[in-house]
Amino acid sequence: MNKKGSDKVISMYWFVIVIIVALGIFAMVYVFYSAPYDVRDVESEILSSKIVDCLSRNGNIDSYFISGKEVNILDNCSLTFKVENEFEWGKTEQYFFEIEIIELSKQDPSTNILFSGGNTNWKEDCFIKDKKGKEYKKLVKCNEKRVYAVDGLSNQYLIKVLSGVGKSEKNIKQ
Amino acid sequence: MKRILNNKKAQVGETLTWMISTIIILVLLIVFVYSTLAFAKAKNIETSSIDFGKADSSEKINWMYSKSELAFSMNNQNENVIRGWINEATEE
Repeated sequence: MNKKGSDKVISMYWFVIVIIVALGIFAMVYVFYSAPYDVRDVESEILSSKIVDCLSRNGNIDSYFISGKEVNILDNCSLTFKVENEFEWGKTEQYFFEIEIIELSKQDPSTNILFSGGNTNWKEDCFIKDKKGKEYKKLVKCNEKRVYAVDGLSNQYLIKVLSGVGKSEKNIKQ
Repeated sequence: MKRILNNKKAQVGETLTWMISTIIILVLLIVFVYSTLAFAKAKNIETSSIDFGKADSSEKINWMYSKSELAFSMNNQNENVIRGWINEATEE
């Protein structure tokens, strides 16, 4: 009779252990899958790549961009900064870009052609780093691309594109 | 009294085994939960894991790099200066 009693206690104990293990597995799955993927790095890379691809095709800079006229980069490069209507993103744009086209023969920086769009207030955030030189996770993710291009008259141009993506609410666990 | 205690020896041993195994199970669970937390924090998809055409990746065709190369084929004056300027961005 005594043995039967101890068996019952152990089976209860075993049941409790199974519940603890199940809860542990649930916690692990929940912790892993509730953390979002941070894709902003790739997103800003794609944005800058698209802009560079639009400005320079096969090493030739489109004369339209160096004509001195006012250029709408978003329309000309078929880009849109519209985002899903979450976290009040409709109020502040979640992307920005800045383009600098430098004509190599002209030494004066004031002659550089500049274009920008989106939330350019974030530009400064691209350069903020902690003491170890690492970027802060909740700040904008930026990407810089530099390419060389020539125009139809073989004038040399250096193209610098800086792009950034916000959206930290969705990419970083708050 | 002594006889009763002697009868309980097997039970005490069994309970001890269970207690120790419980501690091991709990410790293992805590380790796994914490390591999952660390893995979850590292869920970043970075450009270093995808080839977008860094100047030094010689294995794959690099369209960003090829843009500059095509321009050099048309006009290669100041090539070293320009290459140095382009590489500044990849070094940063």
